[in-house]
Amino acid sequence: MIIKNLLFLFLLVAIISNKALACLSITDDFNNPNPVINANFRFEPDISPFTDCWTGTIKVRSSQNGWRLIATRTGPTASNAEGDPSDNVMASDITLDFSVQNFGMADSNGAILVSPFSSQTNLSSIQYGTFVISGVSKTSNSCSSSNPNYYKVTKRLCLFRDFVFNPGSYEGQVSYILINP
Amino acid sequence: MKNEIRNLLLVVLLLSGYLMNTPEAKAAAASVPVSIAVNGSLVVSDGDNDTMAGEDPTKNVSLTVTPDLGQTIQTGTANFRIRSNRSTWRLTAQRTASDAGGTGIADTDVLVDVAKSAGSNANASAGSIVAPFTAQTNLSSITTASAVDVINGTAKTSSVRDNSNANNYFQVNTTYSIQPDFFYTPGTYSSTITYSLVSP
Repeated sequence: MIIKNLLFLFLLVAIISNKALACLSITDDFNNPNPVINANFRFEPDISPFTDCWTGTIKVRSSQNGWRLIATRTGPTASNAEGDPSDNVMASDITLDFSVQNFGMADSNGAILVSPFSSQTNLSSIQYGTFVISGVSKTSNSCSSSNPNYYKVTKRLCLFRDFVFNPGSYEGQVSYILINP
Repeated sequence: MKNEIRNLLLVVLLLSGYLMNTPEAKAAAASVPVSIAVNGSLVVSDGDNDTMAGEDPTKNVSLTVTPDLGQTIQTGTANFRIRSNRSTWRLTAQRTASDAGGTGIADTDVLVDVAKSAGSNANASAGSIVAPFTAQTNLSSITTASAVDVINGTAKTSSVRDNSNANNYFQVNTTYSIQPDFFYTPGTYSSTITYSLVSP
């Protein structure tokens, strides 16, 4: 009877432990967890057509199917900008391209960019808690930053140097949260 | 029987504990601070070669005067395009002392006309011509001692966005002319005018 009880307990603990090990992780390209990645643009309007771009990557690992990448944006907010406020740099001026690549054992169809992020859009598409990627497959059972199974999310922000923009500083932030609904 | 009830209680206890404390995967996060600095810029380009190669141009104006009975005025032009995202700017001019080269031509003999225009995506009212260049004048109005204002800019030159920079220019056309006169003797008169775009 005692052995039966112990086996039963072991089974329960195993179930709970398995649940407790469920994991989600975001790292940067150097596998640092929960990264803060700066996107800096500094430009002077120029005579030739020219676009300034910034590219950043994050790596997503999940031990569960059905994960989501959610994004929230603040700004860009102008400070010390001179001129008509309608000529300030706005979120809609910044083009945004996402791409997703699978690495290791991660299923190539396991992470799907949700519209409008499936093609080029602009930063105004990210508002509060905007759904960016639907993860239908786990990457592996581990979210260790050294685990070679992950989805690499690359984003490219571009801003055209237009003479219309008011000189000044503009600050904003995009936060990405990986959740398991 | 006692054991079974005890086991059942144990299971209920564990399950309720499990259900109350269902462990969830922790959310992971990344943040991207976006920082943009737009710097003020002033650009002068060649009105006839509006590319990077035409930036800060040197425009030569050569007038050849051959005294004739027809008395046709000889003219030459130098056109500039101005782009500025500054709300105040000025186009100034300063001249080197002229070398008459034995021609007998005086600074006042060389007439100067200044006109402005603008591309379809530019603000034609962004700058106004400053007196005495509002009407025909002569080279003596451009002094050698200090720079004089030619255009006073009160707004940025673009009024709408122009992704190809094709039509967002404010243009300044300068024309130099001289009336042939039998008074002049053969030779070469020379002077150099430097136009500078400054803010404010």
